[in-house]
Order: sequence, then C-alpha cells, then structure tokens
Amino acid sequence: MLRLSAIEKSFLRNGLPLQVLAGLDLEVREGEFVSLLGPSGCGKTTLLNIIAGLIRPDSGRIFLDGREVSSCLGHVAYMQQDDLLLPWRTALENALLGPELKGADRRRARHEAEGLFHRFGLEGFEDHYPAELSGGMRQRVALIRTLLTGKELFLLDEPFGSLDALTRGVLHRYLLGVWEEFEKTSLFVTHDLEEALLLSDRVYLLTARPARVKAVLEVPFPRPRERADPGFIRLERELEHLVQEELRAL
Amino acid sequence: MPFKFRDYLPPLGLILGFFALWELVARRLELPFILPAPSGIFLRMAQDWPLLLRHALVTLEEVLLGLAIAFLFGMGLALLIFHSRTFQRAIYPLIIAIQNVPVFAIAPILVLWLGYGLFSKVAVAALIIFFPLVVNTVDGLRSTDQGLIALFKVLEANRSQLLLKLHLPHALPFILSGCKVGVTLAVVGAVIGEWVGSNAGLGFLMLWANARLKIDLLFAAIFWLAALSIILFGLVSLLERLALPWKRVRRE
Repeated sequence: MLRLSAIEKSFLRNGLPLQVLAGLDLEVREGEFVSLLGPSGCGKTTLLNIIAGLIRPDSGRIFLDGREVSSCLGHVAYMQQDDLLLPWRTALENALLGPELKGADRRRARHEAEGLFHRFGLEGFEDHYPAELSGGMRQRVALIRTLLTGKELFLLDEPFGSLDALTRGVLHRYLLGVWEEFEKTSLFVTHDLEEALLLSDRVYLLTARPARVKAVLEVPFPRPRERADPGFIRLERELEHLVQEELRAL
Repeated sequence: MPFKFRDYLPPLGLILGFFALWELVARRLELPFILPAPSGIFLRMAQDWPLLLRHALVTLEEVLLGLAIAFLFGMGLALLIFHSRTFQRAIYPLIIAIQNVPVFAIAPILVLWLGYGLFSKVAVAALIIFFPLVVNTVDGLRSTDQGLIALFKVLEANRSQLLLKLHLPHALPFILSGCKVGVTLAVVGAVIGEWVGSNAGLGFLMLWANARLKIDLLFAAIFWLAALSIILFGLVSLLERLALPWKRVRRE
C-alpha cells in the first residue's frame, strides 16, 4: 500500500544543515496498522508531512499502491495532535469539511456524518461549536472529519497526545473500531510505547535524530489487547529496552 | 449575556450626577454664552429638533458613504497586500505616510478638489478609517494558523476555497473590530470635513451656532453628534454579535 524508500531530509537551523531523516525505508501493507515510535524530535512529524505531500524530501521516493506520489497533496487523510477544528463552524460543519471542499454530494455526506456522530457518542452535539466541546469530543470530531475524507491511508500524528489517560483509552477503542470496520491502512505516530503496542500490527522504532529505522517489531496479539498479558509485558520490556538504548545514545 | 438593569445603574448614575453638577454650576455662574445649563440645551434640542435632524441626516449620509467606500477599497487593498508580499512592501510605507499626515491638513485640499458638497466630507471620513481597516484586515488574514492551512492543503482546497472558507472567516473578527473603530472615527472625519467648508451637517451647524452666540444650539449639536456616534458603534457591535455567534459560546 505505502512504501517509502531511502527518504532523506535536512533543514537549515541557525544557518547549519541539520539532518532529520537519514535514508528511511518503511512499508505499510494494505489494511495494516503500523506505529512509528521514536524519541521526541526525531523527525516523525517531518516524515508524515513528507508522506502527506506538505514538504518535499531531499531525496527518496514514495509509492502508494505502486504509484509514485512523491510530493503530491491529497492522497492521504491526516489527523494531528491539534484537532484543527475551525472555531466558527459547528461540529457537524467541521466534520463535513473534506466532502465540502471536494464538492461531494452534500446530503449523502451529511447522512454519513450523522451516523458517525451517533456511533462516536456525539449525538446531540452536531450544532455545538468547538469551544463548547471537551478535548476528547473535539478529537472525535477530528476523527470523523478524517474518516469522511474518504482516503484509504490514514496518517495519525499523536492524535491523542494531549488527552488524559481515560479519554485516550476511549478514543483508542473508537479508533480500532473504525480501523477494523473501514479497513483503513494506518500509520500512527506516537512516543508512547504502550499505545503503540496496544494498537498496532507492527511497530517501527526509529533512532534519535537523524532518524533511521532501528527495529521493526511484530505485535502478534489479538485485539482488544490486555496490558497485563504476560506476552504483552514481555514485548513491552523488549521494546522499552530498545528505546532506552536509543535514549542513551542521545 | 442577559440584560441586567443593575449593570447599567453605575454609568447611569454617573451621567445623571454629572448633569446635575453641570446644571448647578451653570445656574450659579449665569453665563449662558459660555456655559449653558443642560436644561437649556435640552429645551433647545426639543424646540429645534427639525433643524438638528436635518443636519444630522447630512452628517449621517457622509459617514455611511465614507464607511462604505473605505470598506470597499480597504478590503480590496487588504486582499492585494495579503496576496503579494512585494505589493505590501511597496504600498505599506505610502499608507503609513498618508496616515501620519493629519487629516486636518488634507481636508482643505479635499474640499478644494471635491467641492463644498457631500463628496469632500465622504472623502475625509473614508480616509480617516481606511488605515485601521486595512491594517486590521491584513493582520487578520495573515494570522491564520499554519496547521489549518496545512489541513486545507491536504484536503486539496483550491485558492478561492482557502480564501473564502479559511482566511476570510478567520479574519472576520479583525475586520469587524476595525469597523468598530472605524465608525466613530468616520464621524470625526465627517465633522472635520464640514468645518473646513460646507453648508450643511452637524459640524457646519456647530460653527454657525457658535458665530451667532447660540451656544445652547452648539451644545445641542454636540449631543446629537455623540448620540449618532454611539448608535453607530452600537449597531456595529450588534452586527458583530450576530456575525460571530461562536465567539460567545463557552463550555458548560
């Protein structure tokens, strides 16, 4: 589905080149949920911005379904840590932004959105403005907006990073439900190791800047996953060991 | 916010107290050609209301036309500036230079060019509000969150969608607060225009009354002017409330 080969990117910082991505290879298969785990500031967001087409890599190629899409916009759905809701639009109008910009059939999109509001426990909040909603509700509206873009590949950049643990747990369930039902291929960025293991089929661990792939772990457990499961704990320890190694190298 | 009479008591009390004091001082001084008593002014307003109304309508027309013209040109210029940094660099010093020349200094020239009638006053009013309107609008357009711009790009928004569905709604509160400052300034501009040369309007009436030592009429004109200004400001505030319902909501 998504294949990155030898992505490199440097930025200028204080006049000096700073390498952020150093020849990164990555593959996400159709319908797969892959997490990208790495120390803060290692270039995870930069990588997602490159896949989304918002910034150009210095070199390297991006393939989506076998087609090269390097620096093209509009191929993916992108959800960020900030909910990015427009404050002057109601929750429902925000959710419908994608279909509206595409000029899609208004009534059908609306119908679909209302179904999702119901499903995500947002019924009755369609006409509320973002300022009236809690952080968790706003992130759910953002998730609905992401779903309604109709794209097959989801890029999720720490979408639950600013939420408390309880709310985050609820949103994990919503996200997994969506992922299973709509079979969206997902690339999920996080620096929370447990979150990565709870959600993903595979975890890519990145090195500290400049980022390379340090390790790829398969997570073989069925969902919903149990934190207390011995196998889960073993894998978590293993991953933690690798992360610690990387942090020491900083 | 619900209307609470109690909230309006302190300012109301202050105004009444002020007028009472004024009345007292005026009666003691007995100098109606310098400081007429409020009672005398209100009497004059009651007697001469057709005259005051006629001149007020002239001033109102100047203000509204000035606003409309400044808004039209201001928006156009703000969009051009927003569109092109080069254009901004070229035009900003000029706008700032014009803004820093006192309107009083330009007004006689405008009257010379545009005549004693309506147009010179409209021009002065428009000129005085042009700057705050343009600067506010550009600030609003420029301050759109980068994350939101990225979101629209990922959703493949075209240029006009980006402008109409993101930048303009984002700038609307800035534009409206520019208008709020603008209306009161426009009244000042219109009066300045009338002082420099005119034969109608509240500013003209003030000069006319002053020259004939009808000081109570002069004050009456000032009261009307203040009322006009306050009403216009109130209308823009109301428009602001209606146009930005999302600004008023809070999480329960």
